Amino acid sequence: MQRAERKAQATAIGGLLFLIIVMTLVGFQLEFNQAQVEIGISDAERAEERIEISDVFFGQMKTYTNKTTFPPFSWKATVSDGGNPFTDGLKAKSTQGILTPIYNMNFTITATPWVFQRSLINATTGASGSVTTEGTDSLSGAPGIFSDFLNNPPPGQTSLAVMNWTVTFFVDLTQLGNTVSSATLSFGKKVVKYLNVVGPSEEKILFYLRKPSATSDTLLHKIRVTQEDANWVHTNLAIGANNFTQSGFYTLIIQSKAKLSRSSLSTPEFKVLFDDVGIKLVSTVYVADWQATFRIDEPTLIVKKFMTSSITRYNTSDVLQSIYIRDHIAGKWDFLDTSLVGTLPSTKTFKFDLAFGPQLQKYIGTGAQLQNITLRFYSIKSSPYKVFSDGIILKDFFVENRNSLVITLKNFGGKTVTIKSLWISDASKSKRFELNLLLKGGEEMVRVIDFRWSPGDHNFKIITTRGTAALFSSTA
Amino acid sequence: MVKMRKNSKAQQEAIGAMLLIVITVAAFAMVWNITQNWVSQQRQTSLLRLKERLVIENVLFEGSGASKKLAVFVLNTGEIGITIFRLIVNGSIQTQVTPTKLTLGPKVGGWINATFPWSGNVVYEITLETERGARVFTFAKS
Repeated sequence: MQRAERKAQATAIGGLLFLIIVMTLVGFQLEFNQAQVEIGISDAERAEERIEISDVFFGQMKTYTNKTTFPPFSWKATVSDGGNPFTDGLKAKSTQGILTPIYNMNFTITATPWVFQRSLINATTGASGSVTTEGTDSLSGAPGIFSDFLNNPPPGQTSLAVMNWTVTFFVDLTQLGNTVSSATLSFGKKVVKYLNVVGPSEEKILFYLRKPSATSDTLLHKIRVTQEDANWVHTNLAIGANNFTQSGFYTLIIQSKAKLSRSSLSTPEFKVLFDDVGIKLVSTVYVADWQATFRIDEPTLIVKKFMTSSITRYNTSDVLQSIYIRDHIAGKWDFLDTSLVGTLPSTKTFKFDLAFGPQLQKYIGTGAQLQNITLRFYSIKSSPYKVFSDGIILKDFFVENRNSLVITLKNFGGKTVTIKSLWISDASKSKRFELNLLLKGGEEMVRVIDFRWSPGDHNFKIITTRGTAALFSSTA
Repeated sequence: MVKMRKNSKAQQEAIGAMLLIVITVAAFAMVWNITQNWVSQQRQTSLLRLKERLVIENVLFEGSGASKKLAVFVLNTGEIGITIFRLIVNGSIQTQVTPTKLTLGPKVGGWINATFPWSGNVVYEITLETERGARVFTFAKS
């Protein structure tokens, strides 16, 4: 019995020791397996890397930004608490959306784009319209415009003039979130001549609106005139928001109708002045609107391309943000992008390559605007919000010497990558550059490389720290 | 007399038991030693070889005539240091290589040069081997 017990004890001890050895081996196997898993993950991450050299420019680049010593040439913001939207930490409140689509409502210097037309009955001359400095006491002061019918008809007859001032303007309802809650017609008028005018019961001044694609004009307002005005009469008139249900070109017509009778004392005349003629559309949405103009230093002849980047965010979600660039030649905004932006910073980058068409010169400007590039940020939402500008940047690319090139790298995968090195090879040499650039998923980066290039074929290669490579070829 | 015989038997059994334990422990010590050596060796070779990662970034064909050479730039993309000690071109181990051993820390690259009579416009298979036995290869056109 005792022998059997000792055998059992020895077996137990032996088994325990054997178990220790087995556990050691199993532990190592687990360690090995863990290493395999880690390597597998690392290899999978490498397989997921997606990088590219998206562009190489043989020349130089200059960066203009509100965050360095190169501020925008000028800025303009229509936001309620003002401030410089291009300084760090800007926060601007939105205002209720307002659109005043009529350009030159105060007739500054000229009447353009207003046009004068007239038709006559029993008269061949005497109706005229032009810019005048006569009405100095209007809201905006002189100049304004006038419609004048100066005519003495034959005895026993009357002469009639219908004189129209028209202006065509574009209403972009997307800037109001496609909702117009109120529309107001405002104008100032002053009848300064009223001699032998027939028919005091007739309306002599009428306002019409011609809607996009409309076959007839909508009467907005009519004024019965019986005498001269001692002072300017300024009117703000609700004209119905339902007149503006679509984007497009509208025409406002100010019609002056004058019927004159024969006079032997002095020449009959009907003359009326107008100033401060505008239409104001108010939306239920809230708007923040600002512009940045960059003045590039380089002569436009050597600028080959440019790109803009902006980083914006809001204190709330889903603000509809639109970005435009100024077409200096056509005098309008060209649409670039619309997207919903929230509290996370949103970076938008746009490239303009002049190699693909001389029409892009319109963005660089002509005449007084030469070398000016203007961006506009227009945001709308149905409730008030604050907008933050974390940076607006413009880069121009120009040819000056052969000592540098600009390379654009993009990580179009989802994971962050580190670009370890860049190789540039031409027919005679091959050079390696240590970059160590961190690119987040989807991020694009532009780098200036000091490299003496010669005309001819060049090969480019980038390598990530995980070993992924991307190739690019270009001819200087 | 009977009592003395009983005591002697008990002593024998006790000694036998002690011997059995000593033999078991000794056997365990031997096996344990062998096991530990094997595990340690595997850690130094297989496990570390598994963790080695390197990439040939570029291969340059330089020189002319008798001074033709290959210049290979290799990047250690792994998390542990590596030592490259062999350059193989089209299956042939190169002997005139400098440095003869290239040690690279994690995320560090370096050059290996070899005198090699390359011909123009030919694709070569370039292989590098580490001391632990990991290999990486690429094809390069001269």
